[in-house]
Amino acid sequence: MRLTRLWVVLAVLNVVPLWHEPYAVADSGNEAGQLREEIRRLREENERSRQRMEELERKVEQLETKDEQKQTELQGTVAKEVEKQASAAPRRYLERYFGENRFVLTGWGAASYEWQRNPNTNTFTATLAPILLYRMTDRVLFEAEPEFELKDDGDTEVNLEYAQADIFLNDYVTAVGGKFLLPFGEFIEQLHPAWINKLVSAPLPFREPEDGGLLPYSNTGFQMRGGAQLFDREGLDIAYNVYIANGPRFDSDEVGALLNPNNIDNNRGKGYGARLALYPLPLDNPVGRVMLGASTFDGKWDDSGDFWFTSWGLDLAYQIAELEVRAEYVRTQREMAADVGDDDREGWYVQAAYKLARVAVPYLDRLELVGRYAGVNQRAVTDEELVPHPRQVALGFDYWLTPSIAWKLEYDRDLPEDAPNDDAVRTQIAVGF
Amino acid sequence: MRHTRLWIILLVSAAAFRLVGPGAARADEEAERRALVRRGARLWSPYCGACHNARPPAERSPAEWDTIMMHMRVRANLPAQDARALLEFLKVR
Repeated sequence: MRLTRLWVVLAVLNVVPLWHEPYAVADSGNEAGQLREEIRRLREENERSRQRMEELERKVEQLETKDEQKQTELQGTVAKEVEKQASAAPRRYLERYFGENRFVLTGWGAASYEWQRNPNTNTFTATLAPILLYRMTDRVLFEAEPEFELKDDGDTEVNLEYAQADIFLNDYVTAVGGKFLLPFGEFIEQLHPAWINKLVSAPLPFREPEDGGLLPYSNTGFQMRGGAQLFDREGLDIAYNVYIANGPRFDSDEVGALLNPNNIDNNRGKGYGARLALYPLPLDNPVGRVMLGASTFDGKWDDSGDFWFTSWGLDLAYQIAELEVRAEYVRTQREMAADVGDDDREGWYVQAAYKLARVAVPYLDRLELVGRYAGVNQRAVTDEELVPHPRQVALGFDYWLTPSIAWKLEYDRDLPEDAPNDDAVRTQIAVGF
Repeated sequence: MRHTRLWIILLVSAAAFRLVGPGAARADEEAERRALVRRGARLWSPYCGACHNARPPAERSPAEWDTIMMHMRVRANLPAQDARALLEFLKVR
């Protein structure tokens, strides 16, 4: 029975496909067509891909060729650059020292004309004083000022005004070694350059020593100097100098002798000096800026080192708006043999200057009016062109072409009448560069 | 657990410093420089004008002013901080 059922089931299963056969034949015909169509499409796609791949391969080859060319070019450029750098080494060496502006040339020059009544002088003169600055590091500066000046005899005189090394030890102390301008008062160290001095001539007591000045312009030695702000107020400052140097020297043992340079010390004694300056008013005060200074310079002056030269001085500067007033006093004592008596000297000047900057007139606003009164007292003089008690009134003006180029005109009225240097007219073009 | 927290704090601090620190330091430096320039501008006329006409900043290159201000700091006994302020002002372009 079971077998019979099985046979029946098998027979039914065989009949079902026969019943569906016509439809299956029709479906397989469509499918083949579709497949052929699919195959054709795929072949076309394959062909396109092959072409695309060939195209890409060509591009890659091109790029590789270009890359090789570029590599070659780059290698050539690098080789050239290396060669250029090697050949530029000396130039770079020089640039390291000069081209980076570690070395700076500044200074001043002047062309002057001078007419003096009594000695009947009528001459043009010229001076050039370049200042050479070399910054070795942020803490070390070398500076020097050689001065070239035309002299009466037609020669050009060259003087080493100063040559010093400045070492900034900290914010408050700078060590200075070498030949330096004498830090006594303001004129010698800070105001003597022609483009800074508002008149053509120097004040009587602060002329060059060879012209009758009461102090040397420079000395050789070692100095400590600096400045500081007080009470954290802008402009409320203090400044100081202390130094040891070769000291003073005179051109003879006579009373009234002129000071001489002391580049090589003439005795075993040293010269000592100090200066203190105080700016007692802060900048935000309405009454202007004031500077009060005191200086001293002392040392043995004679060859045997027996006699002292002592000096002290006071100076003042006041500035408010366009007005500037300066005054300096100096007193010196030169010890002499007992039977001769001391060679005492004193000198002073007061100078006022007023800029017409607020005058709303073209060209006139560049004018600065200047007046100065100066005098010297001393026992005697050895130079026949000097007098023991000269007085001088100097009047003039500066016409400022730029902040550092001035045309100056000065008239000097000298007393006593008929002194060897009596009355003068001076004019000058001064340039600070 | 404590160590883990410590490490997290340290890492976050380092990341914060890395992100904010240099920028903040640069900002501080720039603010300080600007303050110096302002101070230099105030000092330029009275300090330089104490002896001579104040020279315009454009007269010299910044590198030249570096050297010249060393010279002027010595010559005029300028307080160091004031010299720095004047230098920053003179170097502005």
